[in-house]
Amino acid sequence: MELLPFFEWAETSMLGSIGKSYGGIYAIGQSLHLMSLALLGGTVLVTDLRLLNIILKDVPSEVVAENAHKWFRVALIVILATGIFMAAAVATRMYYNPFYWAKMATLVTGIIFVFAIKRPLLKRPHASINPVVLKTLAVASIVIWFSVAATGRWIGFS
Amino acid sequence: MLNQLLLDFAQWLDAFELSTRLHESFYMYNWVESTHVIALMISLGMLFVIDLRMLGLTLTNVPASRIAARLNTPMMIGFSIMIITGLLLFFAVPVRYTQSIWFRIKFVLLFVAAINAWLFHKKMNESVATWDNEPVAPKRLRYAAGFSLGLWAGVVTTGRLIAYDWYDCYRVQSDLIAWAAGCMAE
Repeated sequence: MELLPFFEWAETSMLGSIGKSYGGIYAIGQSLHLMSLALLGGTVLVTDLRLLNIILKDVPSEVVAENAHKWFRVALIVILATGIFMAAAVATRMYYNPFYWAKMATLVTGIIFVFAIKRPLLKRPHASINPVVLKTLAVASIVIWFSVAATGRWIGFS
Repeated sequence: MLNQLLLDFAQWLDAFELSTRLHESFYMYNWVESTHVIALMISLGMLFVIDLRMLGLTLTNVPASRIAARLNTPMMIGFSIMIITGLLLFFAVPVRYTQSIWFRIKFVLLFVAAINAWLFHKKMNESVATWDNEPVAPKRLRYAAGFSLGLWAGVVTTGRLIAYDWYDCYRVQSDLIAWAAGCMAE
């Protein structure tokens, strides 16, 4: 499937035009993207460091995971909304940017990982899950979401 | 006077060969910037969770002091990495950053955020025994938590805006902005 026409259309769409024409609005979008990344990072780390028995050892991991996931969803929605806005304004350049595709790959991996693997598993009583599985899950989660952030930052460098 | 001192300091840093090399190194400079962003995920992420707990928006069934105490260490680790990478980024481009209005506002906001955090901890430790298990912190602490979120939103926004040259000295038309940015040299 040829994707370039879609990216060219996105750049000329109303969303793309707003981001292209108003630098201030675009910069606010970038800032919101960063703040929601921080919130996402906080919710991911709180859960994963708890699963690794590094922090909040005196709070049940189920409680931490459940509370953190609610704000993870909020952060993810803002990240996706601001990300689409940012990408639309420079869509054609994004199409040719290898880090954009690397970021999309890590992001999709992250979303599938959370909603198809991590959440279904963590909904069970954590005591019933093999500790090695829990710890592997936590390390994988940290690696994936830090990769999302790093590849995202590198979009701007290439 | 102050602007001259700051500029002299920036020019002194700028004269180091390492400053130029860091600025011109594609991989090193960009990795320092990426690490700055990853440290933001750790430090601000933890801070957001603490503030949200104080506002009664998450982990309400866990004592507030426990959340603040347990998340403090990773938050401070994140802040330390952020300060180190931030100093390196400043070292790489000292003259421009010294005369950037966004950088200056960011610095003031960081200073206010640090005072707010110190007062917050002091007030929290004084009163926490009376409300620790309440889902929401007392009004004053809630205001401080909200203020903290606002300040950090400002820090992130001004930090991001440093990259834009809209108000760099060579473009500035307004006397007020030129004064606030301390424009003296290009």
